[in-house]
Amino acid sequence: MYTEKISGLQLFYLMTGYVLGTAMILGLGLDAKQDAWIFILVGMTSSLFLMAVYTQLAVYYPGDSLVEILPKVIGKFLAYPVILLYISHFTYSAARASRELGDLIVTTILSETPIFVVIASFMVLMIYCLRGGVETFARMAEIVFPIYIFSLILIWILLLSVDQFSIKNLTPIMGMGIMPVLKTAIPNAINFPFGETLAIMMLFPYLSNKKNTRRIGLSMILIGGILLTINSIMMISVLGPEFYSRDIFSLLAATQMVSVADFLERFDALVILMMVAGVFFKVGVFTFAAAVGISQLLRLKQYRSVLLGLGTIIPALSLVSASSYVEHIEFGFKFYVPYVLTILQIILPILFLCIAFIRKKLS
Amino acid sequence: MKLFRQIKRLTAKTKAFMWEGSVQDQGNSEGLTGSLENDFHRIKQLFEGAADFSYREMKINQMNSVVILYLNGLVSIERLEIHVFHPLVTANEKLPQHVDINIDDLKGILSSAQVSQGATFREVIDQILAGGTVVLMNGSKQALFISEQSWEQRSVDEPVSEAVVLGPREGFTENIRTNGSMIRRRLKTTKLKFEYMKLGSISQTEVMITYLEDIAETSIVEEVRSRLKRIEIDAIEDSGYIVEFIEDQPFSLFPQVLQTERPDRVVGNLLEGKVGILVANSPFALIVPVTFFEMMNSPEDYYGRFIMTSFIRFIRYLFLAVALLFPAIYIAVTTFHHELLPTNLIFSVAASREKVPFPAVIEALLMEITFEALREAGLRLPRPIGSTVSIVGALVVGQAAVEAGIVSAPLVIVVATTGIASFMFPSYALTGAIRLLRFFLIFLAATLGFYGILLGIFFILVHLVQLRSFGVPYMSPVAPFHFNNLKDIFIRVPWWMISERPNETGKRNLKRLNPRNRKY
Repeated sequence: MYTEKISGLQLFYLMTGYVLGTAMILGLGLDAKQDAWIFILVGMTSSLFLMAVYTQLAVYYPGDSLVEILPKVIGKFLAYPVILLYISHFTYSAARASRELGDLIVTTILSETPIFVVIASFMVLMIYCLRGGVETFARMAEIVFPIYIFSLILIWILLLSVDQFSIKNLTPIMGMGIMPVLKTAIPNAINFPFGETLAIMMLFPYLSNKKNTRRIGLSMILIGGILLTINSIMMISVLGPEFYSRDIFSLLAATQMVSVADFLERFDALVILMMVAGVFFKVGVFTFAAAVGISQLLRLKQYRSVLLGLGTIIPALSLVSASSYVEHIEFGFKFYVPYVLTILQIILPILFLCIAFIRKKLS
Repeated sequence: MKLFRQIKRLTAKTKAFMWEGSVQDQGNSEGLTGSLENDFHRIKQLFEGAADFSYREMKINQMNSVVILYLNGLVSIERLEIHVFHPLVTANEKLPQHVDINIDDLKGILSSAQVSQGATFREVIDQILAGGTVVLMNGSKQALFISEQSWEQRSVDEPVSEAVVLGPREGFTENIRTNGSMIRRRLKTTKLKFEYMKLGSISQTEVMITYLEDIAETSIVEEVRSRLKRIEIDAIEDSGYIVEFIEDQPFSLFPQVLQTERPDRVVGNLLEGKVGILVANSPFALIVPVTFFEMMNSPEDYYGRFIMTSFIRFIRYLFLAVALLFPAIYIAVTTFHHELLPTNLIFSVAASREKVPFPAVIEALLMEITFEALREAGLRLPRPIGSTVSIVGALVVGQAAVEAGIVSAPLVIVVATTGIASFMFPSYALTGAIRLLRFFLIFLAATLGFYGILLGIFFILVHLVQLRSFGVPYMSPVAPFHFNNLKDIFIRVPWWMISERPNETGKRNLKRLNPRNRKY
């Protein structure tokens, strides 16, 4: 079914945008305060190992997606419930990302618009894009990702001009020792956003040159992690550790402080652009992964018809899952990320790899 | 269910319908009989009622007589007199008097440059219709065809739709031979191919596919050929007819075929591996495949100096954004996001909007539609009255409407800037897409503000990246990305650095120039 092909560069853009996605706007490691950047670095380095696990699985079964690999590794009867679990994870994560976009838009620029309109209209765009196939989506990444990076760097440069900017905000570095940081970082920093790259296993089969699998996987974690680290350093320097850990949309809060010569100010639009672009990657990859997963599970010939169904489920799910944004964040960071994602993204893949390894040795 | 059945029945009907052609000269494929009387009679009957059909019978010696047939107005009578009539009238001096001569002897005495032969009624009729002159002789199953066409035509002129300051000033005319010769003059190589075909069952319009062998992708040439052959219609009046038949996605707003009046632009594209299509009676040649970024380039870009060109291209892309987004951003800001503007500016905008009774979106739509009307009116009016439109437009819309408090002054600035911006693009067809999408974005901005504009841009981008022109991605080389081809997209690097043809169309023969050109 993989008639469409995407290039290594396209996959890299797509997945790096996906790693940055919502994490860039939300701010990571809020509990670690001024050590948030160490928190991200820890997450990144450990995720490199995780990515090695994912890519190794992909290398063992070249040309197969996660849904196709699982029955080969753990057998049909065990695989189906696990696949269902992954598909619902993809669907729910897509809903989460769209909820975050909706709340950002509604709290910042469209205060009187119902959040449902925001999410639903975004979903229409998403389905229109994905119905064009993975090639269309990947080409979108090629256009949107450079714009995204350009806006990000522009914002960083502008942040340097803020009066409150002080690199001293980063001190004391690891004032309480490294253990508290590590404790919050593992497994949270690994799971979000780096571990979510598990979804790449649904995209690997579309890669035109399979030799690059590992290189792309590792480089996107590395580049994404470095960008996130720099970003959090900039945020903390501008906002200070207290504000950083309290603000819901830290990038937006920091950007609003920019004022060059009393004229160049209000770069909110740029942040909104980045948010929409980031969520575009995130929701796109999750929805696509879910659609491909369902179509492979049900042995459909194509995934386009599944997309329409997902397009109606995801906006509803995003609203039903939490009554308020605070509840949404609480549920996410207190339950979903530390527990559910640890099982789905760390424990199970390592288990699968061990089984796959033994199977390869035996045969 | 009933509806479905009905639809099914309808589609079944269309499938059963076979194209039999509309009115056309079918048949007549029999050979000439050799009896002058019968053959001449049959042709005369076919052309009955056509007042421009002319013929002359004459005896050339004791045994033989001929009939000369042509359509008045399509042939040069003077040249016919010199090269056909005169030799035939004086034939008895050169030919034996009492011998039955054959057609080759007759051919020998004609001094015309292009003389050919044919044997069927079909050929004879086609020749006459195409402006040829036919000579029938008794006792011969062959007819002579003499090409001495000549008709009134427009001379080679400066192209109106694509004016340039620098560069050649000749544009295509309605004559397909002249157009072909303009291309041939620029590419003196046997690799330049012209393939003829005839389209239109009644009009029998000549269409010419032109490409450079060894550079153009054979698959693309084959695709062009087959798409053109599939066209079954009664008449082709202009190349614009063909565009809609051969486009990949006819329902897209964006043009996927480049129409140009300039031979130099066609040649430049042929060198990049594109395929050109010339159509008789149309001064517009078609070029396929084409990408979005090529639509944004003017041929002049290659004649001026590269730094200036790069700057102009930057302006062009900037104003692409203005033409598309400016009214939408105005609406979004005045309706939803006052805080995005500097305080002083928002005060002056708000003050001027105070008297206006409409919401910003109605105000903008009113002005935009008026502007489109002015533009169309200015185009249709005879030249001498044309200036009236601009005066009335400027006074009524610009001045009086603001003073009457129907629209605000800032909006007039917005609409005027947008209007100017939309005249900047080198491709007329692309301008149309941008004008329409502007309204789409205005509606989105009025409902969802800045977020709506963003969604709109994403929608347009998604559409653009999945568009293809003859299999070539419309947004290449940006998506899919190809670094080497970026040298001639947003900026133009100096000629000696553009060492490769575009990857999508020129793969067969990438090298364009010797990279050591500038190493002195």
